[in-house]
Amino acid sequence: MNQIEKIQQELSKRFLDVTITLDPPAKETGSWFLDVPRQGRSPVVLEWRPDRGFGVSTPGDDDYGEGADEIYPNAKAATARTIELVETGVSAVSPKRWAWPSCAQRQGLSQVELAERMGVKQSNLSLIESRGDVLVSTLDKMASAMGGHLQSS
Amino acid sequence: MADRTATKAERLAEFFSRLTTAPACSTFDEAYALICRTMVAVEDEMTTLPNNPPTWMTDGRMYPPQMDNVRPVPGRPDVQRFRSRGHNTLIASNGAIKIESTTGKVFFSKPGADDHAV
Repeated sequence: MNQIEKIQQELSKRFLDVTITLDPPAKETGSWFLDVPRQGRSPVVLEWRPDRGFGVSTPGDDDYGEGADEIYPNAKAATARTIELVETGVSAVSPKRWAWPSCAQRQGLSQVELAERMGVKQSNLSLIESRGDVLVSTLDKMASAMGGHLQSS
Repeated sequence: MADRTATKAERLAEFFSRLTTAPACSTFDEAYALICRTMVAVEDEMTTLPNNPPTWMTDGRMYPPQMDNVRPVPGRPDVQRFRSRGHNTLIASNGAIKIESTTGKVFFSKPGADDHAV
C-alpha cells in the first residue's frame, strides 16, 4: 500500500459517512488524486506526486488548469490539513489570493524587518517572494510577524 | 507578454472561445496540441503571470494538461482522460474534446472532424 492509499484508508475510517475515492494515474510519473466529499461544499482534493509531495485543494468551477492551493512535504501534514478542511468546511488557502508583500508595505515594514520578525534571513524571504511557492506554515509565520493570524474562508 | 492580467473568468472564456472557433481536430494528437497551444497563447496574451510549468502550487496561471496525468476511460478505449484538481479533460481518438468538473458538470464540448462528440 502506498502513501496515498494509506491516507484513503485513514480518512475512510474517520469519515464513515462519505465515499472517498482514489484516482490513480496510468503512468508511474503521474499524480494520484484523492477526492474527499463535503456536504454542501466543494470537495477536498488531495494530490500526491511521489517525487514531490502532497497538494491540497478545494477546487471551484473556475480554476481549470491551475495547480494545488497548498503544498505539504509529507503525508502526515497533508492528512492533518485535509481533516481540518473537512471538519471545518473552510476553503484551502491559495497564495494568489493572499497579497502579503503589500500587507507588509502598508504596515511600513521593510523586507529586512519582516524577515527579522519571522526569524529568517532576508535573502530567504526574498526567494520565497520571487518563487510564489509558499508553505501554509510560512504564511502563518508571516501573518504573525505582522501582528495578525492566518484565516481561510 | 500582456501588460495587465485579465481575470481568470475572462481568460477561461477566451480559451473556450478560441477552442470553439478553431477547426475541428481529426486525431487525439491534434486535439491535445490545440488545447496546449491555445492555453499558452491566451495566458501569454492576457496575463502578466510568467509561464512556469514546473510550478505545482497554483500561481493563478492556467497550465495545459500533462501527458503523465492521463488515465484510461472504462468502456471507452478511444478516449483518454486528463485529471487535474477539479476537472477532467477528455480527448477522443477522433479529435473530440470535453472538459468537465469531477462531479460531471460539462464546461466545454467540441466534436471531432467527423462531427462526433466525446
